[in-house]
Amino acid sequence: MGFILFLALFADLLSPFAYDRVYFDRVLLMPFEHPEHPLGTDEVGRDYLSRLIYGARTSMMVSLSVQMIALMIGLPIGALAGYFGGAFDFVISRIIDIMTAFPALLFTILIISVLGGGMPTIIVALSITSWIVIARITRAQILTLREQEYCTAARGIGASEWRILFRHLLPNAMSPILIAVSFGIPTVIFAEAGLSFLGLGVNDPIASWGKMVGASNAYVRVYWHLALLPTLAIALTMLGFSFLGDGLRDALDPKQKIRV
Amino acid sequence: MGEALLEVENLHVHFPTPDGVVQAVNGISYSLGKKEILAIVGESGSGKSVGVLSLLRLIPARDCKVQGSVNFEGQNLLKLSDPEMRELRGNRIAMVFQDPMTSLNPVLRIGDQIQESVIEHQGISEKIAKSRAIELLELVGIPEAGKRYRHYPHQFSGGMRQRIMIAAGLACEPSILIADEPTTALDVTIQAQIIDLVKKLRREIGMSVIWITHDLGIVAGLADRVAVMYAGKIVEFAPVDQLFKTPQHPYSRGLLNSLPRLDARSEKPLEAIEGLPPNLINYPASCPFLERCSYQTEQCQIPPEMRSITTTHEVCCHHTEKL
Amino acid sequence: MTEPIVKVKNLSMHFGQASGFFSGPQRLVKAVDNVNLEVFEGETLGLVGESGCGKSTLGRSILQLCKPTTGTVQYRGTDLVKLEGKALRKMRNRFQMIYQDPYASLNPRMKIADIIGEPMYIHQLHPRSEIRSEVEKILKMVGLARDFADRYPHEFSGGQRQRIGIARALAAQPDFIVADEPISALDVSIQAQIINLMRNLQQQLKLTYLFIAHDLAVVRHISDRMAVMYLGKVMELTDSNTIYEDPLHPYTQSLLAAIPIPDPEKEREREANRVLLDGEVPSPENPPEGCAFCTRCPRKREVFETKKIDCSTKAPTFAEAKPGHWTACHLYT
Repeated sequence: MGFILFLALFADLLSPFAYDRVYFDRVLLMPFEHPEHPLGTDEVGRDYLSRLIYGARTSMMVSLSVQMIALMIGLPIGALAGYFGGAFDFVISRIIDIMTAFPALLFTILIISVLGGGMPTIIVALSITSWIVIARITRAQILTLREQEYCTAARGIGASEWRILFRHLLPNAMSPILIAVSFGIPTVIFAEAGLSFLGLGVNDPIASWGKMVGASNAYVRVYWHLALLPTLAIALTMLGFSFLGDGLRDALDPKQKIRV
Repeated sequence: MGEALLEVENLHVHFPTPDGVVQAVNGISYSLGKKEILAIVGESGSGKSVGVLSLLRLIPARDCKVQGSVNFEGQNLLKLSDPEMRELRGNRIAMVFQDPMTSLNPVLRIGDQIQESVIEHQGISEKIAKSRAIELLELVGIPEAGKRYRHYPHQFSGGMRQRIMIAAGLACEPSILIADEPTTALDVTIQAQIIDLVKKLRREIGMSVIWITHDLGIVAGLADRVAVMYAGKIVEFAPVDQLFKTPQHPYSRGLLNSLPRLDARSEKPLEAIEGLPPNLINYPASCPFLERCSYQTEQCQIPPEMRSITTTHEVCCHHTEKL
Repeated sequence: MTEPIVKVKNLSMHFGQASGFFSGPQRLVKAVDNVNLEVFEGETLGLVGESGCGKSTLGRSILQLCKPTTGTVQYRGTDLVKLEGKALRKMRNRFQMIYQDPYASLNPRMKIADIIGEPMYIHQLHPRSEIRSEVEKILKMVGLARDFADRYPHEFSGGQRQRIGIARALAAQPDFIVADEPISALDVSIQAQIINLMRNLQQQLKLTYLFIAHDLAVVRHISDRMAVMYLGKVMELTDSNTIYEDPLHPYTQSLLAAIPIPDPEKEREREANRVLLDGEVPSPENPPEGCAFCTRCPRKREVFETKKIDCSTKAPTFAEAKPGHWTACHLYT
């Protein structure tokens, strides 16, 4: 997990080659076939190890920005809807219902088809579906916490609505929200990989694991590493983030802090 | 009192947890006579419920370690196999729990729930079981038992459900009814009805009762003998009149003095027992009440043993003569 | 007695059950129904009743933690029901509440110092630099060590948490406190500690209490006067000794009879002539038409024979039966 993040951050220093450097004489090398390319090269002669490392950067960039945007939109909307209720809550809840009922992937594809491909569009498109999850969880959290007696007690000492929301409700709502964010990251990575696989993802020559799998389609029978390595990278990253989510859940559970 | 129906000797219940072993019950011994109502009084964490529920293996064995011996009708309950124990539970020994809202299965008719144990344990036909169930509902004071027999739990109030629980418990004519804070969730007027019912049942069908509670008021009007528990030990065991008139253990005495009395208002502050009960993980090597006791001396560093001061009155304290 | 500090007039709190798509016609629950009360400066008024009788709702609607449906609550001459938003918030430090559940009423993610300091900060009762030392003063007052300030609620036992709850209420410098079942979640030996603490604080700080509880013995011990509630209505109101020695309302009489006294001899004596109340409290959704207590009243016949009044159709008014002794029963009109 940390390793993936590390790869993403220091891709420039770590990669033996630039991700778009093409060696026309070294097309489709198998791993270990050439000493300079330990994981071989792809169909146009780019170093596969470098592309895998840069792929980590793409995945991280897309998934982290999407979750940040989702958090920035979903958290305030969910919190306001949950705390104040009324017409605003009604509208938000219906939007959430409709969006939840709609297949997210189709929706993303639709947006990308309208706006065209590229990293920013992907981030926008995935954010539009991701904030729903955050908003829904935040709203549900606030709704339950609002009924807690310490919330009544805060009103009783004369705390303003905003103070109650920010000081008493949100801090207590944060752990499930953060867990949702960390579980959301692999979902986004997977979605980005899927979109790139379909050719709707990031543009060439930027490296993306999904795209690498997609591009390897024609050669995979012989050059198995082209498909296997990026798939493995995706799988390991997702596993890592799922563990992170589980870990967070355990670490943030207040019950575990209570002395027996 | 006659001969003992149930004899518990040196019972220990320990719960291993990641933070250490919780010593919930530390060597309690008591006996229950025929037709006797024995009250076990204590505060939360005193081990009063655990000490009784563990007898019937109602606490999963993987969670706790139970030691000692429990003699009931010539067999040691702790040595029984699981099927033997199931045969005993609900048949010879019945239980009523604190929360009448969750102890009944919401999707089964109450009649079926009462019948269930009769059919299970005594193998009688459904028809006889049904008339028996209606009889029991009448016995515990449910009006129109024949009709209400077909109703579901949610159609009854809390007090009524507790009556149904008792009816279900009585179905097999057990010799012991164990009631774990059965009236704590109920209002006082309903509580009075339930207590009255239990006394009537004892009179009429002659069962013994172990009543677990924290309320000394209930004990005074209901029990024959009382065991006061503190930090997993019985600190005093006496007939009800002796306990209330001449409490010998500083804790029992403190409890009685700390109660505001309905029948006598005083302007004086209540005599509170200061401090908190000990941590059951780091169980004190001294007398467990030491920290909160005003009679403490050097001697109290050694935990006292239970000793008899009269033929019926037992206390676990070095300093009974001072009190 | 001195001036009333709080005057409750015709207070009602009705909850309408949402009449949604599928739930049929709206049902009205009259949790508090036309209650009149006065709380005098420096006294403790006890409020007793069984669960669901509306005693907690009454306490909360007096403090405007839920807005009453109708009626007025005058606090030193100001009608709190009419106050809104900021004006009400600004006054809130004057009247405080102690809550029943010491586990749910403290924010688990705030340090004790912040919990107790919050009312001081909100109402700017002390300069910010002095809040910490004021918090420590209050901790000492409620019998807690000063280094507890830097710990979190989950590190404390129920009794200690209740002391923290009391400290938070005191931090606002109130003169009127509603204590909503402050000891019913605590163990017997701890209850006495909290009762004594509340009494000491009352004397030290000249506080006025509205003490809500279901345990009559506790209420009798701590309060000067006592109000008995049943199904949203006050049934009887007088000083605490009189209510025990000379209860007028049949409900009060049966309630007193049902409470066990920790004395085996007395219990045997009482058992011989105890009249057990039949049945259960009717649902507040569907209260009896006449007197709220008529479905269980053991003296209904007596009313009919002596007064020629049918309790199940005609509701009694809450009136002064003897000087300072109010009750709502036809027997005394």
